[in-house]
Amino acid sequence: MNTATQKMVEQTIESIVQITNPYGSGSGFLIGELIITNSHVVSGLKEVLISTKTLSKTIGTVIYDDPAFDLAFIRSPILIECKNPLLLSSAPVLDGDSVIAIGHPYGLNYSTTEGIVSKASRLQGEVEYIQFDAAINPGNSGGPLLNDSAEVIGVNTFIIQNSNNLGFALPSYTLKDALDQFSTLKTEDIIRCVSCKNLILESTIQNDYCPKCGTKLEVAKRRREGYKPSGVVALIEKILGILKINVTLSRRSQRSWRFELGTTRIDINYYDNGIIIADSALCRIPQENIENLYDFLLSENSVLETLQFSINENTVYLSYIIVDSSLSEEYGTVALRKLFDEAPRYQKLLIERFKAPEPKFDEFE
Amino acid sequence: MRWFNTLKSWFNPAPMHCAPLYGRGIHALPNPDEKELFERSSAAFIDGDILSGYEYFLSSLIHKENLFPTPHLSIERSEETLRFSLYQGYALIKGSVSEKSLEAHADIALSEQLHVAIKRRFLERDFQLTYCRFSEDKGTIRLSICLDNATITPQKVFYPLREIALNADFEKEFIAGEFDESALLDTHHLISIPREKIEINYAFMRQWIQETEQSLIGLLSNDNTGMTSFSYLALLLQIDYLLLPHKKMAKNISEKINGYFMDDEKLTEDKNADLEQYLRELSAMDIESFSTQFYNCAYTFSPFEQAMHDEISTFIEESLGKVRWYKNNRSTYVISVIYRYISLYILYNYGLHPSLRSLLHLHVEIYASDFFKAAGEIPLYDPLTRTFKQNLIAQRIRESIEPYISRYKGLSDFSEHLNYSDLDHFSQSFYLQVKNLDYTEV
Repeated sequence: MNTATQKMVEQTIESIVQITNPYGSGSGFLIGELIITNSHVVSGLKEVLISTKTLSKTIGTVIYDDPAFDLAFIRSPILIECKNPLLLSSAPVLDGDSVIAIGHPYGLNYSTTEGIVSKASRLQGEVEYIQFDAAINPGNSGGPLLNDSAEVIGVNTFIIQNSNNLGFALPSYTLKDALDQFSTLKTEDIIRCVSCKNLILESTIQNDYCPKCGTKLEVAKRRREGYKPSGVVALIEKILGILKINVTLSRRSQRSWRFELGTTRIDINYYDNGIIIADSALCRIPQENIENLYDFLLSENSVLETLQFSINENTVYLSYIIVDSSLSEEYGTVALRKLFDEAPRYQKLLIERFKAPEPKFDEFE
Repeated sequence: MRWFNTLKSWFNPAPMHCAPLYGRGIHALPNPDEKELFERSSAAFIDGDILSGYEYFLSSLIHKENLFPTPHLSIERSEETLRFSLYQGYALIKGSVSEKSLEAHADIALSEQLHVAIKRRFLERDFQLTYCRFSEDKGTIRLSICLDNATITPQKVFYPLREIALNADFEKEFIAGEFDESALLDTHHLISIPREKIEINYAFMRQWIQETEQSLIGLLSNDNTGMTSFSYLALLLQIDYLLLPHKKMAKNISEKINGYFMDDEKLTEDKNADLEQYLRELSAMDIESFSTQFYNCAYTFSPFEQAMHDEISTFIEESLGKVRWYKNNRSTYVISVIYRYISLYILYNYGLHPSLRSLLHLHVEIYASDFFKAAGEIPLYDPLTRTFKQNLIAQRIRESIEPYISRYKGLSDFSEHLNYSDLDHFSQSFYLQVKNLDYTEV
């Protein structure tokens, strides 16, 4: 990447959005006030989590869901200001043009890759795509494909799995058509019918059938039903609600939650084997006074009751572990409240008394 | 008719199935009323009779036989509480149950005398354990669990109790193997092995090592790495199964065997060299050091999850395939080694149904008849005359299988289908029969 490209990437980053919902995560980008992404990134939900370099995790509203062209538009409740807003390219895309893809592959946020247009127009079904060779992976979906003028030429949409850099982006002219059609309706909550391609106002849909052509609209059904956790997941979320944690903002997947209490991070994971672990990485092992730290942790373990200290790799954790079948609202609330109270207190104590360095959080998850 | 049945039972006594006293795990058969007691425990918990639920559950863990001076699990119930203690190898677990909770702990070691590495290890184990945790209280390192009885079931007692028992034993063994064991607590229940038995075991170990070394002389290392591996591994498995060492020796044997299978980067020649080196160390060990590695103790929980018979069948099938390969390549030496290896490997690696464990032990016993003769047993095979005690072998097979015939679909006495013409033919026919047993419940 040359200096000009690096500068371009730097200016573009502020428009890149990370999108998360209980079923997965992806990328998006700002065009004007709207966040553009793929329909499959929002998973048929009306609300998803959005975040940018300047906007911390916020609930965004999916106001347009278009499974026909795999597009979705999200409205942010807070205006995201960009010094160098992205523009849609109107120049024709040619084979061999340089391209840059930006997104969050596997959650590795703001990853940039470059390549060339391998084939400017490739038809899949009824839709044309740009084929390119910049490496993209799961999590890149919905991110922008840029030309060397930092203009959007496409929306990164899919790859051929197990291939070598066969990426496909929805061209910006398709996106522009969709944006124009959407803006003329001057309303929100729009779904595009996968069959007749008409834009349908969600409130006019009956029993999930397209009022124009009668096709069953899967997206309408999903939006109507929303995300409804059940069983132990619902119980965990209920307990978090009791403890005044914003469940929607903390949800990382259907079985994983993360939030900060001041400077202390709490992670809750519900594993397939039925074990629920709520823990907080408090600090790393210091270079001096280590055995005293161990003695302290082991000694505290004898009085902590529901919680326990442990070490994994080089990090000290405070954890609450329980098997799903044993989790009750009463017991779980007491134990998690204790974790939320004790984790920040112990973190401060360990850092001050044992000069333990603050934890470092792995980005590879 | 009743008179006739009584007379018949005199001539054909009911088979007496006993658990082998060798190998890792419990040297006793499970409680014959295990299932019924477990169900009664479940019913009592549902009725809210918590203490009875625990009493039935703990009773279900008590083995059929007890070879030790004190019971491996004791239960003491009063009106409001139930106390219990159980032995698991090196560990003693003490527990107390009230209507509200169960609390149990194992005192591991004195904190003051522990190396920093052990403290670190305990804290790392805390990250991995599900139910129990290491802590320090008044100078004692303790492994403990606390269960809330609000939604208790027998299953919810079983897994935590097993976790604390297995880990307390394992960690004490680890300390004894790696550091000074004098810091360990609750060790009075360990039973020392008589000197005479130690001497016999020591002599056998050295004899087996020497015999293995002799058998490998003349084998070109490049052509026979597989054969050499089978010889060394079968020998280590045999030492572990028959002599049952503890502490450092058990740890080293485990590391050597697991290292062989898990290290994909090392050449087989290098792995064999490691095994050979370790066997030399064992051979050079003096009897005093050797004697410190042994004790006898009771176990409440098996360290193994019971394996599906399909897994065992597949392993036997693959191993017999290797036998065929060596036969076709005229490497006859290794064939009997593989036959010996198969049963030892299964006994070392899998949790087995009591009948299968007895059958595979029978195979080990036939191959190590001189060892069992020295232990006061009737040898089942005479290596000089190459003859089998066919009646005894048939009886042992019957005893292993008949108590379970009504419970499983495909179990039948196969002693008539064995080929007694020589050891190799016997093993081939024996494994084919074992492979085809069916443990599907009726």
